[in-house]
Amino acid sequence: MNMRRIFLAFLFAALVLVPAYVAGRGDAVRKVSLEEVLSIGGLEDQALFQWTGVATDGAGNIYVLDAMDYSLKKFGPDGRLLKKAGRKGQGPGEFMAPRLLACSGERLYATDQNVFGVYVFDRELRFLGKIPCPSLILALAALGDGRLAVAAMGVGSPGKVLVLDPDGRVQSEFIPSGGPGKGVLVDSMSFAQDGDGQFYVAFLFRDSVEKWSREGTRLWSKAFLGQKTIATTEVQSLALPSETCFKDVALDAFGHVFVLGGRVSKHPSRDVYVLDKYGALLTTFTLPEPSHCLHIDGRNYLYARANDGLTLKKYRILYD
Amino acid sequence: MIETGRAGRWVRVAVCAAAIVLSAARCGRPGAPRPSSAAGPKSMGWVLVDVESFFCGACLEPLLEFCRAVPARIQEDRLRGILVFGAGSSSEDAGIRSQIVKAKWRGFSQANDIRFPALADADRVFRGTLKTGAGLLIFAEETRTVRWYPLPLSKPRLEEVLRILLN
Repeated sequence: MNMRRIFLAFLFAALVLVPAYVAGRGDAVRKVSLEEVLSIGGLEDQALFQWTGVATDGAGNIYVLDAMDYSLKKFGPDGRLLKKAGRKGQGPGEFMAPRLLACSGERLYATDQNVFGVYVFDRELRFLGKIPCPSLILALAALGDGRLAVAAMGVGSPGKVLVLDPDGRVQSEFIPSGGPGKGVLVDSMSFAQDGDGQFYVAFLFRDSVEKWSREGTRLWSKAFLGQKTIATTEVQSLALPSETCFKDVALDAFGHVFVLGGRVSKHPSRDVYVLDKYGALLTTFTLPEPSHCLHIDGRNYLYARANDGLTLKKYRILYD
Repeated sequence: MIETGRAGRWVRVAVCAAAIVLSAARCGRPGAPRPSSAAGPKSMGWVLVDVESFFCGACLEPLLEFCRAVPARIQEDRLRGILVFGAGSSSEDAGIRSQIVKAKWRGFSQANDIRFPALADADRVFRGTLKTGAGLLIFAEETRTVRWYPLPLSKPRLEEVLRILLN
């Protein structure tokens, strides 16, 4: 029996860990490229209209929020639509402006742009309830133990990262600085959390990517775009930031940090900066089409937008 | 033999008047009686929609409010949507952009029970026309005029548009 266990463990290491090591090579990555493996939605098939949030589960299913038809959709690993839920409204399981999505275990967590809280669904898209949140949410991560991390929008106060327990109580919080500049929405950010509970924060309107410990200490801060000031535009006598620096941040299974550049990148909304966990820039690559977000699943597949949100592309990440 | 008496003159006047009225009705001259036939000219509306507003719920709310006020039959018969591209769209990808916005419109219109069909402004004819998310170009048969109504509409303006479209 013991021999059998040892053999199975050895087999697991051979099949999973060794190829992963060979493919990832730790921080020695010099080049990253993408190989498309799946495309969901197109001009005629009405599978997606304008997807906003994406999440994946361990079985390879893909969950997508669609802002155009106010829905939550579940696709199988082969890209076939398995289930659709939600409609326009403010009742249970309904959306007005669906945005962010995260998956952890058997639960899906979804946000609506103008709702103070997080909707909870099971993986069959049944609505389970709502976790309250003290402010509107700009970024979302499921921490695996029922807790959530959210980036809370700051209006008249700085934006914060909050860790919420399953009942919505704030367990901890910290305020990423991001550099100079005050005003509405300038603290908008996205973030990702690694296995050690440390946060990587990318600012939407500031040329700044930061790493924060789980205790709320800034570990490093980097700039890549040469943006010293925050460009603004006046909307109804309100100065709002207009030029996006970084749109999203995601981590691969090896701990590399993938940061999606915004409008001020050389290729707007397509350039991806790959950093190591210390903030050193390892390489950059360019998405085939502009995207508003990045998602990387546990098997190092990257998901991004195409056709202006009509299509979701799944790519295998190739390391060199 | 031509009748030249008083009664004959009245007959000629009546015949001329009938001819003028019928002619005016065919041409749709102002003040002319409207044709009762369903095949006659009808007032129409073009609903201009800024496709960049698709991502901004508040920007398209006035459009949805207008659609809720217009009966489905009138939407189908009298309205046509025109999907107007924003300044960010380059002319090189006009073909693919047209297909994309039409596909998005299918999802949006189905989810919001909008009944009028929409066409993409592939040649950017209406670019720059919209300052808000949507507006109406109303072709009023009764007055033979084209009027522009930016959305949202005030209650009197909405009633005016509905009166025109229902006519």
